[in-house]
Amino acid sequence: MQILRIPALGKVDGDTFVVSVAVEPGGAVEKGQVLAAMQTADQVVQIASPTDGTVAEVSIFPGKMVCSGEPLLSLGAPPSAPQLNSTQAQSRQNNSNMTEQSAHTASGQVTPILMPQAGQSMEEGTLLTWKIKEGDRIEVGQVICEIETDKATMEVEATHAGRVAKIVAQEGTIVEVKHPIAFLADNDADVATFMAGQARSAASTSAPSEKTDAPAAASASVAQPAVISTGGRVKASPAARKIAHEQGIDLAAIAAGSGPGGRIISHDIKTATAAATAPSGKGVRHDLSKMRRAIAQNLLWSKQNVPHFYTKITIDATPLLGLYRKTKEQFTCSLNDFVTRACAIVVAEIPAFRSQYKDDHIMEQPSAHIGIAVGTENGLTVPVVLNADRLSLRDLATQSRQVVESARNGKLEGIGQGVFTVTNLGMFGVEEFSAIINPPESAILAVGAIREDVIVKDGVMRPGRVMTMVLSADHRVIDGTVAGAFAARIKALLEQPEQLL
Amino acid sequence: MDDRFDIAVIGTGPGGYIAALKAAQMGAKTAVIEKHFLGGTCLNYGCIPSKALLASAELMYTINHASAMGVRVNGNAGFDWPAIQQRKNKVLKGLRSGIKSLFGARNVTLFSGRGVITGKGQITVTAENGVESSINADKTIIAVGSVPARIPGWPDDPKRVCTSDESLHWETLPKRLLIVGGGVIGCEFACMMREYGVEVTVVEMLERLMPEMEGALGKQMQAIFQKRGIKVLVGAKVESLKSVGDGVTAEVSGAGAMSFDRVLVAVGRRPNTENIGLDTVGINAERGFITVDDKMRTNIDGYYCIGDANGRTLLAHAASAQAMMAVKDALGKDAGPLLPIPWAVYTFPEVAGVGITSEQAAKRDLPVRIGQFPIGYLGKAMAAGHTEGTVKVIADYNTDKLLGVHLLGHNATEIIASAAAMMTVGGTAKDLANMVVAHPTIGEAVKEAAEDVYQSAMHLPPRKMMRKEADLTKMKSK
Repeated sequence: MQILRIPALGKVDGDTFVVSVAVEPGGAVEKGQVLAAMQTADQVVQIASPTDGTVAEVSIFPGKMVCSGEPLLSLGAPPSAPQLNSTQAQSRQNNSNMTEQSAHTASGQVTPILMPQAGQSMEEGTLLTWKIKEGDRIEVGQVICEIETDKATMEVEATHAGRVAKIVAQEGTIVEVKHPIAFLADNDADVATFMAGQARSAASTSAPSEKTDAPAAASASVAQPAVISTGGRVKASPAARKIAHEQGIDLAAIAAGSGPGGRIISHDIKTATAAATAPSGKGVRHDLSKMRRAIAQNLLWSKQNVPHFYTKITIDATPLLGLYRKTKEQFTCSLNDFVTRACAIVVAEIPAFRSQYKDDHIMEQPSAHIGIAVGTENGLTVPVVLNADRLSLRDLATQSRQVVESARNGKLEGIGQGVFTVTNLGMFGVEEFSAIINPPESAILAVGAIREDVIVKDGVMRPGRVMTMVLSADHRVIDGTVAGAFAARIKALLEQPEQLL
Repeated sequence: MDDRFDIAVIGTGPGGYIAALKAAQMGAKTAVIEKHFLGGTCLNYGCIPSKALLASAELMYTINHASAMGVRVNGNAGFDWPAIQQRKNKVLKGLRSGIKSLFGARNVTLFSGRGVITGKGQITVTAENGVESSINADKTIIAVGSVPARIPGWPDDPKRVCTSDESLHWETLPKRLLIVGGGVIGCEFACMMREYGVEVTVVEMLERLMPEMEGALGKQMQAIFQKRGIKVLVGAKVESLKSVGDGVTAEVSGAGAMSFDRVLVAVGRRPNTENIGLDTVGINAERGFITVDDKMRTNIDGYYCIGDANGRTLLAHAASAQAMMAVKDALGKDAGPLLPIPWAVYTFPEVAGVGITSEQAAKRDLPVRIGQFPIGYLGKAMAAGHTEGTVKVIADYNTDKLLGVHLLGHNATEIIASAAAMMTVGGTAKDLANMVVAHPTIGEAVKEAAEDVYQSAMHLPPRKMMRKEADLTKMKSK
């Protein structure tokens, strides 16, 4: 047992108090790890551990007044390398941290960085992007990569400092939790030795060697996948496992997956299911995902509680299409960007379109934040372009592309801030449709395809391009004439689209 | 003479006379008993005379340092000790008659003589000429105060071995003065006497001057004293004292034998509660200090004790605050809460504080944050030439409530009022940091020290971030 004491802290002793304590009883500490921070009259001093060990007792607390020589904490023996059992792993984890074990090889220290288990049911994560590269020195707290799970995308912070010797998980690969994604070491050679040791133990199922208890122990603490087959672990993505579980499908029965490394992905299950169930015609039960449940609740409420009325307007889309083709040569944009911009301008002009009915008053929002309806694999999401009326078409195009892409990747931007939504089914050839207002907004514009049709003007028929839009509005806030004003203004803007640039 | 009263107060110090005036103001028939001069220790043997002498001493100090401010004084400035004493005596006389007329204005009956409790609700007053009077009162407030402690076994010739009672009224000044005790009184006298040309040595038993006060300030005061030529011996004891010739020889631990003309014993005060009849009615006391609760009630119904005699806080303004509480409670009103009591030391530079010190916080393991600010950084300090001192603010780590504020610096005794006011209303360090203070003043240091609690003081550079390794020691096997 050793006692770590507060060292001499500067010129004058006295008035030193503890600002923070970074360790807990039972926690492992390494040489150089910061244990606590103290504040004196002219310094903030981080106290680092001079040695490895396990914290037995901590003698200080934030706010405690201390002097040099006073005990900080007592240390027991350091954990022997493979000692990272599941309880220790749990106590050192939080949502985006990593569990690690340190192994001492013959020549130097190698610290594996493992795929973190961010959530109890998480089994795998996809390494999206590395923020560091081999050879970099990283610090505790530094963001080193981005991973994706079936729930969300998140950033991973380093819990150990050191030199990145080898990155083993390339961008885009799926890695099981608590498996290495990179190694920290001062010598690259040590990493090779270490990895060889790991491979050896992964192959054998019995008596673990010194270096490799941890992965064996770690995988023991991972929740078992819901695999029906008993013939060993099948490589399948989280989504695939879920579908298989729901549909009672044996993953082992699926011969080969089309994912990386032969991994079974959800597409494979759909294919297999289609082939398997087509002849028998049995119904399939789909549990409600959170998203589907939310959509169902919100839109049912909207349809039942908001007095919708509908205003249809068809515009001559020839100038719009022409301008769109010209503008596309200068920067990437879509037809919908023009519509969104037009809506933003009118929403900014007419307060009723950015007002919301609350039981005993109407709340007028100051900004024209426009939501863009996006259909994703999982359902409908509406990311928001903030202050769309103040953006040039070019900036709006960039923003909308960005928020739509984020939405497709599961990252929703500007949630809850939208005041008006634009929904467009033109890419499917739909001529016209009426949308349900997205609560708590007061209106939504449903945009159809630009189609060829006969335009009659002053009694003369000519072929041209038209586009039909239907505005759904909440009659508690927006009256017919106000909706009419919106329609007239939108038509004016879109038929002279240079104003939208 | 009608001898039935609602309230009788024994003693007319800052506790007693305030109690009497308050009781009369609240409509009670009030008697007050005084065996000596009106005004008690504060007026006659403490606060007032010492501040009068200190004022003259500070003037000497300023004149002696006039050239630093570009002012020329031809020749050596001198002082007239008898004139200084006369001025002080005039101040005392004026204040005593001031109290007397206040009593008259409020119809408080004054009994001159020594009061003793002779029965429940009964006090017998013996005048100097031996005549006895008997008073009956529903409620009695004991405000008999304290006297300076003397050290048994030492020569008791009051011309050589004195306490503050004598030293404030010395007719002549000694050449070499030993001050035993480096507390508040010892420090004030050391500071004062040095300016009157006396060779001063202070011997303090504990590790620093003013040991009950905030540690850093005591250490700073020691440095200031030593710079002025006052000899300070801390962690030292006067083992023995012997009359030798016209003076004394003291054996001081660690310094050997030292010779002096006079000794001032300033080792503390003891309660003046002997033979005042506590046992007659069964009032509890501990080492002479009468035990009271937070409303100043003793264990016997109808008897209160305020001021030095109850040992809680030996300060004049504490006695006055307690007087208010006791009178309100005695007359059936709410006594109110105990409020933070600031303390003040009238050395130059002054020292003041309110609330707990950092040492007390450490001893009680209270989680705290501390901010400090050196007075010398302030514009006013530099412009007016008062650069000595520091302010410290101590706040609760979790709630930010102010726990203590301590200052050493010019006008500290006045400046502490803003901190005491903030603590009285339960303010936080942020409150103190956010208040707007006139510029340029020394008071700005309080605000800056409060900012420093969160390392955000404008006039301090940010703290350096350092990293150090802990010291490793093996645990001793048991």
